[in-house]
Amino acid sequence: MIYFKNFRLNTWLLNPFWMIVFLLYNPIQVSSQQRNTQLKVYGHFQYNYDDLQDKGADSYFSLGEQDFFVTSNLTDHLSFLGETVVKYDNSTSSKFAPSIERAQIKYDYFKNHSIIIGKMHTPVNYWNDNFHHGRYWYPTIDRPSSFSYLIPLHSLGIRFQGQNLGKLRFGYDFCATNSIASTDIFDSALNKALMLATHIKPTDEIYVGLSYYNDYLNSNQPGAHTGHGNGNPNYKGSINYELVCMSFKYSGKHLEFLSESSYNHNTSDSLGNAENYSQFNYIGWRFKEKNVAYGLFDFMDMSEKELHTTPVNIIKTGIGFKHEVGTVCTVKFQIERLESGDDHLFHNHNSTRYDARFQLAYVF
Amino acid sequence: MSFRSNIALLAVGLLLQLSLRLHGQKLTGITVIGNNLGLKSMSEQQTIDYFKARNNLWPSNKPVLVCLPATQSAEAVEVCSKLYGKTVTEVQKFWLAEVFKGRSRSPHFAESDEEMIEFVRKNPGAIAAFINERGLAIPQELQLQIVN
Repeated sequence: MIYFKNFRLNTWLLNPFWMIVFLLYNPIQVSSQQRNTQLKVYGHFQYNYDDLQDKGADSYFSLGEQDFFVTSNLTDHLSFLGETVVKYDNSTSSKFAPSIERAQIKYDYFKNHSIIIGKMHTPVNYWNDNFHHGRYWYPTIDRPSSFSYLIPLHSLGIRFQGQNLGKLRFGYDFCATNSIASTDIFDSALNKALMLATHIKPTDEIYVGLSYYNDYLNSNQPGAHTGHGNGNPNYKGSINYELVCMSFKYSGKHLEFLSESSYNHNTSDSLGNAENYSQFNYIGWRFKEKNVAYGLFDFMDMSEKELHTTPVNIIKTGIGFKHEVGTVCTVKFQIERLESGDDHLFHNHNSTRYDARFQLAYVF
Repeated sequence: MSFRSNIALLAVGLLLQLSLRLHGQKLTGITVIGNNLGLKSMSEQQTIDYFKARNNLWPSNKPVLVCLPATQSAEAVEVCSKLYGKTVTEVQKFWLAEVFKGRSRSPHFAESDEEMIEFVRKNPGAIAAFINERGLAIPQELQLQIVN
């Protein structure tokens, strides 16, 4: 009797236990085969030869990320996807630490429309929404340089997704997520980061995407969801962060092309507007089905007024060769020239280096 | 027959051949089966779209679960070529990518026709394609008609 006297309906309904029970058993009826939990492992090894202008050359092998990728069909409309990566971490004794990169529940509620809740890769551009941590999928050895400075790599929150709509196979992603400055368990900001991404796939070979991302940071500090390195530790004021990205991808029988363009506009109280640009181009020629000869151009120009992160300017050019071994592994060899500096438009170049890289990326 | 008549006949023949190529059946010889899809017949293009992971759900509101031949057998080569215009390896890679992107549910790669039929029978929303060279009996409830 005491139990019923203190019973509150909203508390009962919002109890996580009952919510999980509801999600798992609605719409019910899942055969054991359909649940179909699968584990895939992605990983890579690398050899690097870095010819540093001031320090001389370095030659070394490196153990890359080991990516444990799990999917499971929970019910007819609910599915789970998780991507946990074990990667180099200098702060631990073993120098390696696990990191949850994606953990998301997807609910297919109507035709090709879905709701995704959890930690995901922010779908601001084609690369970040498709290749994730699987080096096996990367067309080149590394990600575009902008991913280390301008692109909010991860988001934790809710995402509304639609795909393959109409003849042009239109798709959208609308995300409301924790701030760039948040961690995986806490966000001090009341407002959320908002993102709208749209794309079309008029043919199997072509993808065109456009996105807008906005986050108002009360205090500029790097969180868990940014690829912005250590950010700018010298500035703790507010930042209005805006990002526009455009992607174009073509993958024909022989010709492959990917273009990732970004325009980042940051507004701070102290220095005002900072405008940053980045452009990444990849072009490849596939021959004998398994081989690709490619070239890359990676450019990033950051404003001297940039306060959100440390302003760095980069021009990287390279050529490479990729060989695919079935659906098991890819072998890539790449030679690149990297020019970088912290002055605007390279009036006084700080560093030029030539690197050779060899990468073995696998999946099983 | 005059020269002009010969040219006209040749032109008609070429046009007819081109027309047959354009409208010829892509999925001839392939047996497609499904379980509780909410439809009993589909066009060839619809069928290809479902196999290419362009839909999450069937009209029956069941999830789309694709089942394909796993081996490098002649049957698998033909199914992958007709449905996807790709080799078996390319199709396996296509699905590896789709699942990794988080856009589709994992497909089931079956080792035999019997395994395909059994998988579809046990899983509402499952669809499978194979050649059925041995003429295996398909249960009535799994039969699906592909129309042009």
